[in-house]
Amino acid sequence: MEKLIEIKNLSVRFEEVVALKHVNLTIYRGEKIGIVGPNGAGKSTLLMAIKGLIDFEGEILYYGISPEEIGIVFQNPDVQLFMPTVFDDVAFGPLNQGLKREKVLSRVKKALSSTGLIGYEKRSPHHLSEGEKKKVSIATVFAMGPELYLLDEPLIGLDPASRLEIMKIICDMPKSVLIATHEIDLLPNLVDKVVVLNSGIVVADGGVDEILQDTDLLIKNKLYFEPGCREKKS
Amino acid sequence: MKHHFIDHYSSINSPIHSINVSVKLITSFILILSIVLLFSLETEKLLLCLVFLTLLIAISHIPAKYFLRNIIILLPFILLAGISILFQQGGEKIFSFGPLEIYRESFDRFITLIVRSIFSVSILQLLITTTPYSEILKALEKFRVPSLIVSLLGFIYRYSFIIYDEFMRAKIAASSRGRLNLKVWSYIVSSTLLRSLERSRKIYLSMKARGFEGRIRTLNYTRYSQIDVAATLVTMIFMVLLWKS
Repeated sequence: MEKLIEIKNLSVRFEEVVALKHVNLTIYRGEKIGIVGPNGAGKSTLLMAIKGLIDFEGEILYYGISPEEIGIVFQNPDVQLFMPTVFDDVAFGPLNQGLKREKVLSRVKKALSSTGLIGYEKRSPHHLSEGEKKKVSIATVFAMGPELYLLDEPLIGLDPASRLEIMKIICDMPKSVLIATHEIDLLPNLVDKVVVLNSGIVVADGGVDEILQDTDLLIKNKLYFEPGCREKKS
Repeated sequence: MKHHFIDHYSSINSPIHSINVSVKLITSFILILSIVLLFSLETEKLLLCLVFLTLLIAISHIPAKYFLRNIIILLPFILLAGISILFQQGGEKIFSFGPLEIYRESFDRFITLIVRSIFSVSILQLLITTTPYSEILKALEKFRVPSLIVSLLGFIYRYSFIIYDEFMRAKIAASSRGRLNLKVWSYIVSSTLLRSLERSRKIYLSMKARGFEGRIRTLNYTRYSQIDVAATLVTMIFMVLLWKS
């Protein structure tokens, strides 16, 4: 497989807090990877470092792509969406890429159609439901035609129907995808490989089945819970 | 959070709503200029402006109550701006209370200024209420208003939602745990500011991630129709009538 990104000895520090510690990871072209870990594991930080949004120590080598060709969808859609209309928000990236008007229009149309948002063009993003906002967030990145998608908790806080819609969109993504999540149950439907991150350190990585069947590893990294108090009583 | 108090009437259908934004901006500017330059405190002119404004509000389908409420909110600011004129000396004295003296000429000037301001603000309010904010920004960009100013206006609009959201979240969280006293209000305000700051930082990162380099680019559409010609004609007729009356 062709290498897309190679992360060597990556460390990120926010003042006295170490968010990532000596992370090594290789992403191959066309690969779909799940980054799992408990809250505060460093998942979002890793995505932002790959996109080049934060300062880091170590090395990130890009093979045949540049950070501009990486699209990141933030966890909170209210952070991702800032333009007055859905159309303007989706067109924001392509316009910044310097594309011609016709190209921008076709990219926006394709992105909206891929995410089932045709007819939403004139709506205000901040008036949409959470599921719709999430879809618009993905469309904003989709329109830029990235080589690698970085999705930060794309399924969090959504109702089952919206989850299914977003999952379908992710499954249809033709390019490499990195999904940061702590919702491991849904991963077998989305990714081929899983990287377990805890306290900024890569604890394990491997095939999705191999990792998800390792109950000890999941419990140790707060990704699997013992039966709750109700079950214990019965 | 829902923010229906902003842009609430901008997407309804009315002849005023369907006027091209650029035409609406220019005609609004001409109307305000006409009022500022040609209006004086005469019955004909006052009636003409009143009838014209009432007609505009009626065909815009904006509830008169909503319109008037917004004008009343702005009224203290208008009065405050004109108050210094009221106490200028000279001419026939019509009122005195201790050191305060009001003269006929100053009083007339004050009333003219207030009426002019109310009419101008009403035109401006009609423009803002009947036009989506994003369209106004695009029109400003088209008129070569510096992109920094247009971007700033856009951010003020966007961030007003963020600040409102954060404020409401903090308020709901606080009120769910007890009564709101002055100390709690101060916490709500400070946490709103801190959270808004954090969110604006994240929004900036998100913009940077999509290639933002200091200038917000949007696609403009320019479509003119017969209603735009009609709006321009009506504006011209009003201007001539105000001048001749």
